[in-house]
Amino acid sequence: MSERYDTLPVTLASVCGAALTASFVSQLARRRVVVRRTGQQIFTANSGNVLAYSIAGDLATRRPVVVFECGLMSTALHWSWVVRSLEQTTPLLTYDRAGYGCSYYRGPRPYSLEVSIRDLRDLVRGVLGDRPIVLVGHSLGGYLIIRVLQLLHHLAVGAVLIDSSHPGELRRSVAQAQGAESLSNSLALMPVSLSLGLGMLLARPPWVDQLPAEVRKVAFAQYRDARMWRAGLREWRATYAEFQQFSGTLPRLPVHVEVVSATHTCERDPVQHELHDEIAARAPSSCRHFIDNFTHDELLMLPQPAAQVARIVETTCARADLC
Amino acid sequence: MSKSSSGAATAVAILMELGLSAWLAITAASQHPHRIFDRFRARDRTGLLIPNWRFFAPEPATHDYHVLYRVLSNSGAQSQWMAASDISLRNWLQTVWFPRRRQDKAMFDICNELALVMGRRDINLVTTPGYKLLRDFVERRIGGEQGPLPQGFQFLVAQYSGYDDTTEPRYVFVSPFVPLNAGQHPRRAAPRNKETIR
Repeated sequence: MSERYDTLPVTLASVCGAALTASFVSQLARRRVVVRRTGQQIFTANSGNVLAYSIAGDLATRRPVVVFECGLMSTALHWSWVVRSLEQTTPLLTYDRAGYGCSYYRGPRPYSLEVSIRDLRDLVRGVLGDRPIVLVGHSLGGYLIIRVLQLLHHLAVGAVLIDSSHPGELRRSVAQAQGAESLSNSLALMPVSLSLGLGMLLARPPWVDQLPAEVRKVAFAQYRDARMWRAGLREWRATYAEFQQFSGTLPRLPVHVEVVSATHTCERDPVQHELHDEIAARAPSSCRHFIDNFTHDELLMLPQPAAQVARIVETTCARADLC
Repeated sequence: MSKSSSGAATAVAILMELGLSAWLAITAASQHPHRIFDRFRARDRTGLLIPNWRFFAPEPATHDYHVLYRVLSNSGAQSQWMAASDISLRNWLQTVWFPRRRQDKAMFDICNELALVMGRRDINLVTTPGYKLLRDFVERRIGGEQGPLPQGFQFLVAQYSGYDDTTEPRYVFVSPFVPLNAGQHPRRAAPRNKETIR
């Protein structure tokens, strides 16, 4: 007579227990990688938010300092190729907004984009004093730069907006509105899922391997960590609410602006082309640039378009030097 | 039973239990509604080993695809858009015999595939099997019509919810002009020229 084996439930529970333990251990290990500061310094903004920032290049030169603002769900690491192209010639300041990387959100709730705008103003004043600055923003970071220019107009000598968000995009672009809906749905699940230890199930996204080799490990750990998604969700909800209510015109931009578009973005959604033109028209002087063959994210993630972006930033700095 | 064969049987049983438990655990872990958590399923080349609840869920299809076309006659006149495909109205007989459903389903899958690769810079849309199938489908339809063969045609794929008329149709894809070669068209002569796209 064959023997009965009734141990399957026990084995299953053991396998699940081992998998859960491994998942939480790897989650803790990832968190350690994410919050480990490598050459970053800490600044506490008036909101209470703790911001991790880095200075690259030589602050002793008289050139304006280039300040980078990231897009949604992005960290300072996403500027790596651009920073690498510029750090020999230009002083640079990169930082992570509150909640990303080594920065912590301790500000008011509910969050609004105004908090991030004031944090950036505090950081620039606190770290750079009265130094002239060139502000550079990608995607949502572009919109934040448009807003912060109103607060830092006496320091800013130029701005570069790379495939920038426009507050009217959700109301005027069907494609953006549809994308926003699906982003809202997918983002909502992420922080909870990752807090439950499901980060191990996330496959490595291709963009991680487009970044310089030395930052890939941290970028991938950030991507699989719940903190980044929590910050992204918080910012996205605030952005969505603010953009839905926007019906007016953009504020006037007090400085010369370089407006960069990915041709791919404009081809997929011609409304984006119009919106970027509108941003350029709000500045006293502006230049329009189109970067062919690369997508919105690839503008920073791949070395070739990032080098083009770096050249545009350099031109803006040189122009400010002449003025 | 000898001691050694009993030991081997126990080892096999333990391995089976471990394998089944791991399979069950992986299956349970692969039920997240968001596809970016499909790390294990992405490695299942057969697509069969790890079952998933998302057959229709979480977003069931709420629309059909419609293929429309227009032709350019030999005199240079452009026709109105006409339907190349339609969705069969349902009746009770179809619960036992409904071969036409295969065509509707194939059309849906092909259009869906086309919609998925649109906007991808690494793919030339007119070289995809989906595009070629739709192009040939429309060409065959035109070939079956009465009258002289036109100079060529253009087709479009529209998404429409059908019964729910509160939703506007959405135009997903418009093809480039596809010339027809009367001398080599099956309606006129054989063999058929497959390289008609410019």
